[in-house]
Amino acid sequence: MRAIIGKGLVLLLITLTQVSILPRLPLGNLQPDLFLIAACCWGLISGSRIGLGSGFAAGLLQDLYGTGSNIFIKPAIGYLSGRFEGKIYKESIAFPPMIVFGASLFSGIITYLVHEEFLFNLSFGYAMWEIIIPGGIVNAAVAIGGYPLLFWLERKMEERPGGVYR
Amino acid sequence: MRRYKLQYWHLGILAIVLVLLVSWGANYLEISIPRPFNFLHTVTAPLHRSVTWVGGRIGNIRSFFTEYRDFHEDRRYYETRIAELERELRISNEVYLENERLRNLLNFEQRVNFVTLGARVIGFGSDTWGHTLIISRGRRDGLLPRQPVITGNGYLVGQVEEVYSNTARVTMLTNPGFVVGGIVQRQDSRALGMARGVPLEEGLYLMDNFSWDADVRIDDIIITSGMSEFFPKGLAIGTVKTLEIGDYGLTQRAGIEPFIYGCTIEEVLIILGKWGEEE
Repeated sequence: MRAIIGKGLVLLLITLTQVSILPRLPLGNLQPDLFLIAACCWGLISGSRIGLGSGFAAGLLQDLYGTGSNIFIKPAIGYLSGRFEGKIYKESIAFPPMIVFGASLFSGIITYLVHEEFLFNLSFGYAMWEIIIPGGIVNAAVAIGGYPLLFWLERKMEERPGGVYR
Repeated sequence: MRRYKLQYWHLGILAIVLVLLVSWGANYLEISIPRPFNFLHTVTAPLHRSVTWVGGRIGNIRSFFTEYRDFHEDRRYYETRIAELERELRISNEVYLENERLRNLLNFEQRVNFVTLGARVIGFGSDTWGHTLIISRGRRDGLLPRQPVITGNGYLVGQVEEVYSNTARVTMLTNPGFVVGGIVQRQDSRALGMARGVPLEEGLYLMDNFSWDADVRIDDIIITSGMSEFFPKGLAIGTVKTLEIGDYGLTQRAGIEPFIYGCTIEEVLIILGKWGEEE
């Protein structure tokens, strides 16, 4: 229960940052997708099931203010990232940014393909080089700091009063 | 026979499929369904307002220190500029009065001003694709989808896309799906084209469908043509920065620089009334 409440609070914080703070900064297309980073990291830390659930919550919240396709992209990202759980060292800080970069490319390409206003108005080259790849690099860079932070929070939330991990 | 065991992720996939089916079904049957998470907008709007307010205050304090040196130069510039503008205003008033007299002479009816409603920008779209704004007015304030949104000085911002109880989502004119009819604001041109939110290069957006012989020049100002059902005439869109031949010489295409810059918009006006309505 603590983990769910904790994730809910983190998602609320991410929503406020993503919607009210980051767009005020003159970043242009270089805004990180904090929802994607969170879904991906939670999948890597806790596995497919948690990744799917938290991805669904993140996608739902993002679609309140977004394009409308995140509700199925983010759970897929959470689930697929969760498939790597147990295959990497959770303390590793090199591997998660690579997964986040791959997830960003996947998310960007699917977003481009499922929205006709992007598919018919933006060339694929423009979308890749101006939006998807720069976004992926920024997401990976943010994940270098974001993954250890979420991992630390996850450990804190799972800590029992006796100091034993679940 | 092996017994099926229900797992949590099965429920997750089932929920996603259900949401997709309901939304696609509603879209296919053209049924308007209330968004199941509409209440979340109402709940989170005060938080967004607070964060925006705090962010604005912090920005003001920071800018006091960082921009103090420029204040004196700016002051001198603005004093000169105010004097120039006062002179231009006097001339404009003369032109306005002359226009009124001519209208009366020709028995023209006068145009009413737009009925507008002010709103604060409390948030932006949550991804880099959409170019949308969240504003602090909604259904309770009389907003409806497709109403035009402008800045205080008449620059076109976009169009209301979705309306919630207390908030609304606005598609900006830099959204790739946005299209509006535009006209060159030069008395000897008045060339017509379509301004789109399709990005060309850094900061420029596409305006196409100018006829092959249209008189369009660099630095021409583009305003809304008023031919659309949804946009009144005369809202400033942007300035022409590039020109090229399109469609094998049959049309001209321009790159226009919009007057608005997304992240700096703090307040907007929504045009509620019927534009161009005659008294």
